[in-house]
Amino acid sequence: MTPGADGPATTADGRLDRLRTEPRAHAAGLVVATGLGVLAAWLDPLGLVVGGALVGLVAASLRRAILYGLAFGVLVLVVFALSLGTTLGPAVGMVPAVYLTLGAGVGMPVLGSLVRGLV
Amino acid sequence: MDETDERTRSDRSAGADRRRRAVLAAVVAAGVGGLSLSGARGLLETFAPLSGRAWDAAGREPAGEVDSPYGDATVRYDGLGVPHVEADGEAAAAFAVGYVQGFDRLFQLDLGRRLVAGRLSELAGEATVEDDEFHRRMGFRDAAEASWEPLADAPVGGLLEAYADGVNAAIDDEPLPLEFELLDYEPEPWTPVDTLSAETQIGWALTGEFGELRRALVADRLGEEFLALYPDRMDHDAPILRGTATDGDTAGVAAADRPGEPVGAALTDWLSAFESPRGTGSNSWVVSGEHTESGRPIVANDPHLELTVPPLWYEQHVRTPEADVRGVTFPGVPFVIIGANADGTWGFTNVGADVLDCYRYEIDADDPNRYRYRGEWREFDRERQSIAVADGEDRTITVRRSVHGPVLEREGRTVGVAWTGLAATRTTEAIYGISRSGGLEDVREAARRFDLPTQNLVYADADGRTLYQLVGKLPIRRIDGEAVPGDRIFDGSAGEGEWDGFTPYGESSWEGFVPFEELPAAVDPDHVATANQRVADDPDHYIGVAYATPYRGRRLYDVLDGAAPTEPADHRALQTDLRDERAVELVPALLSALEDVDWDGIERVDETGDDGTAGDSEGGGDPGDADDPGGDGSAGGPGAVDAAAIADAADVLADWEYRMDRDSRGALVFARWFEAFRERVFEPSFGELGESYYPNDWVLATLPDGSPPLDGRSRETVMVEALATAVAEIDEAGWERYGDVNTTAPIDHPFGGEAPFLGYADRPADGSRATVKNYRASSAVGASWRMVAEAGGDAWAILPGGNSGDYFSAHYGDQFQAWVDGEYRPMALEPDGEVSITFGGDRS
Repeated sequence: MTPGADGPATTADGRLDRLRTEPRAHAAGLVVATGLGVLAAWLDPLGLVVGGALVGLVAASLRRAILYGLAFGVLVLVVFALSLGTTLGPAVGMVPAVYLTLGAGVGMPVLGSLVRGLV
Repeated sequence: MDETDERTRSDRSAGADRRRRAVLAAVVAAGVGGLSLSGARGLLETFAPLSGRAWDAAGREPAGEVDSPYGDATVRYDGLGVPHVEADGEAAAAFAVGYVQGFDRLFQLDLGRRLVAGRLSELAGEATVEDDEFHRRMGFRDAAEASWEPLADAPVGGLLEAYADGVNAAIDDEPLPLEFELLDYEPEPWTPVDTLSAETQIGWALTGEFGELRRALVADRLGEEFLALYPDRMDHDAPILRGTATDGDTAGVAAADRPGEPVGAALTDWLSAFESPRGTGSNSWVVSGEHTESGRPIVANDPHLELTVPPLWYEQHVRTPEADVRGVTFPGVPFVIIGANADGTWGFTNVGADVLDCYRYEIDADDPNRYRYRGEWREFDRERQSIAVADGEDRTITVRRSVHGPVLEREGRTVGVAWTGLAATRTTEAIYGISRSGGLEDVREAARRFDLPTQNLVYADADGRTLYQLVGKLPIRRIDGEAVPGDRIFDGSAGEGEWDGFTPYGESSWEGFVPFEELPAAVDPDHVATANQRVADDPDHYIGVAYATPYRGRRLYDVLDGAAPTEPADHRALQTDLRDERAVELVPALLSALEDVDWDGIERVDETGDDGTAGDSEGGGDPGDADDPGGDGSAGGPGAVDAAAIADAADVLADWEYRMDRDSRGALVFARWFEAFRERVFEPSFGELGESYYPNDWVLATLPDGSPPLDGRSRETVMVEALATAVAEIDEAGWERYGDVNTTAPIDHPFGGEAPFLGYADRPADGSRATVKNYRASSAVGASWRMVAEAGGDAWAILPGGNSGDYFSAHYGDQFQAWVDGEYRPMALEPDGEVSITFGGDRS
């Protein structure tokens, strides 16, 4: 990384850095990460961790990443609730199983977002 | 200096950074690793949002169009989730019915056939191995296969095949319901033998009864004088058919006075465990148009079976060019069993007939596989079978059969069993015939093939005809040519009491059984009420001894006998009647005993004896007895009786009107007093055998002083002591009214232990085991369906739960509260709702 360089960032690190700092790239990156993350979560439970990692990676800091992870988790739960439609009521009634659903929905993306502290 | 400081700071922050990264890396790795471990992985794969399997089962809707090789049909679901099928023909209808039952009740279908086939342990593991062993040894599945053979080529056989194809189409087309996702398995295809095994299961539930084994044990352990507590005939005046003069030869039909040598407690208790819960029975009545406002006869029926989640019954309405029929059936069976068509309406209650016999054998001491039979040694037929056990090792058993049927054993004791349901039975044809009958003669004709279970059928048609008919095959046992009752253990080696014309696991001629014409019946009676009580005072043939107590039957006749022209609302009120006839007899006796009581003699309430010696203070029933939720029938407090509390209870009882209403304190006091009284009377003698051996409520209520279980104690004293016990129990538990202890909590889903959300809400409930509005909390038995119908007219009904077995469906439990409250809704013959499914050929 060349601090203060004015040229276009062509390295991976450089692109990642752009996603984290330039507003439009950041927004686009976040949208893509969220979309991929929701798809991953739909495919497999560990996709929740992957989704958290993806949104975390475009965050500017670890703390921001955790927030993004949390928000991603909430988004997943909202999408999930909408997908249930009229069966949301019975689903919420599935105690205690539904606690796992809520906990995993929020906790696993937060876990994944910690990857921001590594990369 | 500055440079060094900077470098040191930079070194330190780099070091801290590395440590932090290491920690984070470890956390992420541990987290992901932990989440991948099999237990966590399994739970996440089931319940994680978006990816979880469980959610695949949410929002199931039936497919709009379904290919059917059987012709055109449509299904409308009404506001209660009842399917209204309209079809071009019988086969098209059967296919559609299979589809909707497969859509609505798939798990119940699979669980039921596994139960009968002894294949529960494949799913449920170790816990069900004994269940499976019993069902394999009895060979219920083989009996269903035997029933299929003659049906396969009959018209009804074709309909069973169409039904099976419909179920399989639903399995293939539709997402699986929640239970399959929770257990992570898929059902095998449905076959006609599965349908017949559903009928075998209900046949067993209603007639599988080993009373003769228990009575033999009682005679042996406690003495023959105790047999008087199991009267073959209770001395009451409310049989189903009253004042019937018979000219049959009743000599030799008196009940057995010698039950036979017992077969041991272990075997007796093991077999008894597979009987239905106590209280399985029902109410029904038919009233002719002479006694109704509309002039139409009325039929009312509420079968008392296990209350389950989802309910045992499934409601459906099927209209074809041949018939228009609505009512309930058991999932797995294509045809309505209790219901109404355009020409009539009908219902069933259990007779309590004796269609199961037990045999002892002389077994070769040198070769346990040989038994003596009519002077010669024979070998038991043997077959090794393997029971698959989830998360465990397969269990191998050797199934044995004698000439009579299955042979069962425990701890070296052996018994052979003959049960009518083990032969090929034609009940399916009877049910089919009744459902599309055009009137009384059709019904009687169809009823000839109703082989099992033995039932009291009531029927009324749109022409005003009424009918009571006992249906089912009744064996005639003979010893030395004389007809004898069947409630004893027979000498199988001598060929005693065998059933002529009976072939277990095969087609039977039934020639030695009571001919249909000789079965009790009443054609065009004014009114008949059945509540599992004795059928008639002097029947031509031995029917059985396992009748219910007369309380419900007597109450029904008391109301119906005096009734002015009745309306359907009167019948609905009677079906939900709460008067407990036991209380009518016993409360005055208790109050009178209280007046005479010598309080000094009743000092210690935790004793069961009069002499103040340390008694059995654990006098409670079996720990699992929900009729005794305190777990201990005796009171907690040592020392003096709380006379004020007892006087208070007596006042409550004196003002009480004998109605088992959930809001009633009198009902609470009576209910807990009755259980305590029962326990105090019977536990001292029957304790070693267990609560399932206790005599029935009528025997208890009419027990005279000097009777063996009282053992010198005065009945009045025991009554008073029981009240002291009950009062203390109520106080300790903090109950205020009957509904505090009498709740719907025991009604549960098979997974209710692990997944409580699958059950219905816990609600206070009315009714006792003796009221017409019947509810037996200890075994979760009660009205599994309520129906009141005018022949050729309107009908009303309610289901204890909902018509759908799909947890996510709006109809999973939408009728439950109404059922608890004794409410009804219409059961009309008009199709209702938007078309949900269209069946037809070539939809590709």
